[in-house]
Amino acid sequence: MTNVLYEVTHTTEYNYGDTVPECFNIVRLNPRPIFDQVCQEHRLEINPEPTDYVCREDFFGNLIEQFSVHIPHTSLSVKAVNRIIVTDRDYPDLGSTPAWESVAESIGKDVLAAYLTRPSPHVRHNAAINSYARESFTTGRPVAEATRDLTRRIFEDFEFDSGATTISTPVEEVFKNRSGVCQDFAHFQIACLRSLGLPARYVSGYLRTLPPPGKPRLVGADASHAWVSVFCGDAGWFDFDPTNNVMPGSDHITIGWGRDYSDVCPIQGVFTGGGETVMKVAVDVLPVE
Amino acid sequence: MASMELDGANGFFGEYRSPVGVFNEIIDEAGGVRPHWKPLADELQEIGPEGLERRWKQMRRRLHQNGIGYSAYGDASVRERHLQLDPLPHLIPDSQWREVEVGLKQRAELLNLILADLHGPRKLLSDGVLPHDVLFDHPHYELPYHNLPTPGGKHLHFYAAEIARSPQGGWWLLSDRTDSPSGNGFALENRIVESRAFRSEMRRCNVRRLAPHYKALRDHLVSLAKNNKDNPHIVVLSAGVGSASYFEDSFLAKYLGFTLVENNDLVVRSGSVMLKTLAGLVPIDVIMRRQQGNTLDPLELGGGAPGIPGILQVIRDEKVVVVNAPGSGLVESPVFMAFMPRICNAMLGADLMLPGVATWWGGEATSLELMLDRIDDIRLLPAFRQRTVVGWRRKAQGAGKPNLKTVLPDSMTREQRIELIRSNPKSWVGREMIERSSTAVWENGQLKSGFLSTRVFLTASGDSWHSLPGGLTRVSSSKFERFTNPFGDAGAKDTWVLADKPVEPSTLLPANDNLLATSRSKGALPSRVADNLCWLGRYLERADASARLLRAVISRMTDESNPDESVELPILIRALALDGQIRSDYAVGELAKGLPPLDVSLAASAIDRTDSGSLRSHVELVVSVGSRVRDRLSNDAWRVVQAMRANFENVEIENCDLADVLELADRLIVNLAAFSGLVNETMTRTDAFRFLNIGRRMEHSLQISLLIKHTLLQANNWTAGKVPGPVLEAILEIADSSLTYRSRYFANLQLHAVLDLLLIDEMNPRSLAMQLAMLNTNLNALPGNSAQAELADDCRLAKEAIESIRHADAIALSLPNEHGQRPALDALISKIESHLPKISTSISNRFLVHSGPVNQLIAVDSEYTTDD
Repeated sequence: MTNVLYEVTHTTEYNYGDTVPECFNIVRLNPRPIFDQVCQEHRLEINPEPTDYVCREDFFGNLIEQFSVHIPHTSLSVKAVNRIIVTDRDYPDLGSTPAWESVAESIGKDVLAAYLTRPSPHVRHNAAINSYARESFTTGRPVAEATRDLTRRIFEDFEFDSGATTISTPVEEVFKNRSGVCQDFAHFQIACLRSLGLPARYVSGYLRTLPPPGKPRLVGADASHAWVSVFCGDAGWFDFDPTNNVMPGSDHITIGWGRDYSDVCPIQGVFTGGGETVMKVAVDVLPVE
Repeated sequence: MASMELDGANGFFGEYRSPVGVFNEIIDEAGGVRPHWKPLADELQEIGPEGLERRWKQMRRRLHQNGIGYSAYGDASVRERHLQLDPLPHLIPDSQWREVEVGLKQRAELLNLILADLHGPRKLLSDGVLPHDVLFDHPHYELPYHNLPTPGGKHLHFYAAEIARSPQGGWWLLSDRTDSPSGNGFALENRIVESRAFRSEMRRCNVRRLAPHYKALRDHLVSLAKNNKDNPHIVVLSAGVGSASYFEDSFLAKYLGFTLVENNDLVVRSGSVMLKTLAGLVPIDVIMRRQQGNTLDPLELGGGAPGIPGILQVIRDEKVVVVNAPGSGLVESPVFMAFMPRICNAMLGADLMLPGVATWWGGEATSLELMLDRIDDIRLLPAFRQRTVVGWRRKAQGAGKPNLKTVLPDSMTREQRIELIRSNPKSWVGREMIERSSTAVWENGQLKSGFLSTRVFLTASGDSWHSLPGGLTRVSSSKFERFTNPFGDAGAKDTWVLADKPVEPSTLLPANDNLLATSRSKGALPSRVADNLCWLGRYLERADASARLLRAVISRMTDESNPDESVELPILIRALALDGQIRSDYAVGELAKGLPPLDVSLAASAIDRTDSGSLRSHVELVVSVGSRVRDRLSNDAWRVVQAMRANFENVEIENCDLADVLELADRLIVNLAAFSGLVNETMTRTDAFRFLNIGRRMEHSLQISLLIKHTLLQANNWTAGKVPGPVLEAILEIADSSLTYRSRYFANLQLHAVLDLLLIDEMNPRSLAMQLAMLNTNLNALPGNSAQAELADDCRLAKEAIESIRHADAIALSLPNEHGQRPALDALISKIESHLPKISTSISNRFLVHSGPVNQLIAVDSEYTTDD
């Protein structure tokens, strides 16, 4: 088992262009305590100093922080600093998970699992998406094994292109163009899984940057990342990363999960006043030796 | 016995022909008057058709004056629509009412349990009683409402239901209202009007009183406060002046003695919901939510929803109680009607006491079959009631789904309706069409038939529910229930629940108990209201000045002398043009020649509401801003405002001549004076009064300055700069100071004396000096002034203005220079004119600054990249 200690800083800066008398924000940058990661330290540095601040759990059990600023300001900076130990995951044999049909059939009574089989704001599916998924989900195939295969196919069939999509690009279009970024691939894979009646959730977090051989690691090139989690019956939830064709381990740091991006958006807020708003984000994921 | 004669064709209802096949509320199967109707039928026999017609007219007048309108506020292009109130009530014997009441209480309890379950453990779903789709497809199911704390587990505090009678005479429930039921304000207002017309009849008929219910409602809200238990601050949160229920909201707020607020009046600060007032932020304990829809917190609900950012967290921290609880609207969707019998069995182990109209949901296979089989006999309705809020685009879930306002065209064929269901069965319910009971309606002096249903109201009270003995009965010409605008095309009836024995008298006026005393002491004025009052004051004075100037012009154009010989008329016409009341070209001799004669165009332009300078549009502004502070004005004062508009409504542009306009101006001036008088006599000297007064004094000061400027300080070709007597006389007349002048100087008109009276004399209530002195006094009395060592800008500027008037010398002001100009007067007027806007700005900055529109900030996906 490898344990990796990370120091993650995630800085968001807003330049409002004009005076903002007050703003209210929800921040999802506090890593959720889960079995394979321990957060040693979490700090939120907000400038200007917030008037009100509260940390609570949301519907899915993620940690969310809420704050407001009530002095006139023209810019806002939110810096989250996390020190997290991530343990490599020990996935059981994928071939030993239950057949996907039996998982889909068994969830009737589990309201939350059933909820995660439904369409959500960013995830809808159609017959074409379903038939793409069915190529991996052959009759009786173990659910995790089939999902692993689907993950590989998405990785191979789709092109990573940061200019191809925006947050509002529908999954259908991502499928049609076979291109997008990590959140598009995650949304698409969730659409595939839900089209089969399987509960699937969107996981938001970070990815360790592996430097190319012989080159220094690029600070600041890191970013938020997204992948999926699928319900495998009694075997629990398994994570898959279609962008990198891997099953997340100690390279993946989890912040939280939800139905799709809209439930785990890192920062959302409202403000009064202001002008043309410009946002800048910088993320550093540093393995600490 | 008189009652024997009244049976059948012999009594008041002798001419009344009731439709067959439905239950008749008044006439029984044998053709006689039903027993519970007999006492009133006797009374009506006594009153007679002429008497009833007279009372009906009184009622109509009163309703009109009170301005019971549905919608129409804020939008001047829509005439206020008045709720038609039929003089004949809907009668329900107490014994029957008690049965209905028991059924309604059971239903309210059940709906509350359902809400608690759906926003919490969702056992109804896991136990298979309710299909997941019913909750998760609901466009208003919101995750942030999950597990919000509720006082005593109560989500539902106000519940309303629509009930009707089947042909067999049994009661049926047609629909539920659980979000923020409206109509109880109308029911109360109807009763007030009805009881004025039928005071003694109501007493003799043992009509149960409504007042105890509103007392219970108020007590319940008070009991909900977590903090300040003995002195809670409670507000009525309205969707505002553009919303359908604004009248009701303001009426109820005023009646209950609570502050009427809108979203922008409230802000979350230091973990509490605060009301922005002139005296600063005041924490709120309980919010009575009167907004339809699901848009309480834009921070958590996103999508640009209107609301109060951060309020949900305050609810979570139990620092404020919002009723009905957010998300209570879920169960009023028609789809729930299909499941109520099953849910009732599952949750209460009992049957529904009050049956609901049979409803089938297309999402269940057997129901779908039934719907398609009976497609001709059912009413098709969208399964989910989706409240849309103007300017708010809903998130993806709700988009494209039919909402309850979707009206299926009558022309839709059977096949099209089948296709509609089949294309998305889960979005539709089919509902049995119930033939409602009929009753008599008084129309044009005759008895006609109408079909009715009644909206009844329950309020949580301790561990139980308190019902309003009565309700809002609406009558329409169709025997089937209608889903039109609730107060739109149907007429209303007061609903009388008849007790067996005389009823304890109780007043509808709020009792003068502790609560009212405390709410009076807490009368901190919301900043928005102060702003509106200030503008009301300004518009009132502007209307007054315009009317007086217009009147002076028209009276000179229409009197016996030849207008062409008048010295002052061109001066006044120029002033009228400078005031914006007529096209500016009329002020220029040569240009005026090309225009239609002024006596033709002037009348039309005065009453043209589309012309922003017209007298009419000044009046519209008074009405419009007045309706925004309706709850701050006495009923009498509001009636005067209504009368200002009503005068104009009877005049048509085409058939209007100068005499009509003169009459309108006269009436308006009297109405404005009546309004001032009422305000001065009845409004307590609080900040509300002060802001109204500040607006008035600022505008009146400005109008006097403009009058002087537009008459005396323009280029004039008077000999040696001497102002002709008729001009001075006209100025005195417009400034409403002729009488005073004459009493002092008789007919000796001299400019310095006129200026002294109009500008400098602090004894003259119409003088500039008086306006500025009053402005100064009011400004100094505003909160926060006494403690400040340094004067606020507005106070300082007002002081400067009044001092420059006090130091002015009338003779010096009146003397022309060699060019016929009066630089001293010009300088003084310019100073006043430039100070006034600065004073206004300073007041705004100090007290009235509002947060602008709320913007949404959502992180975009630009941060999403990876380096695989």
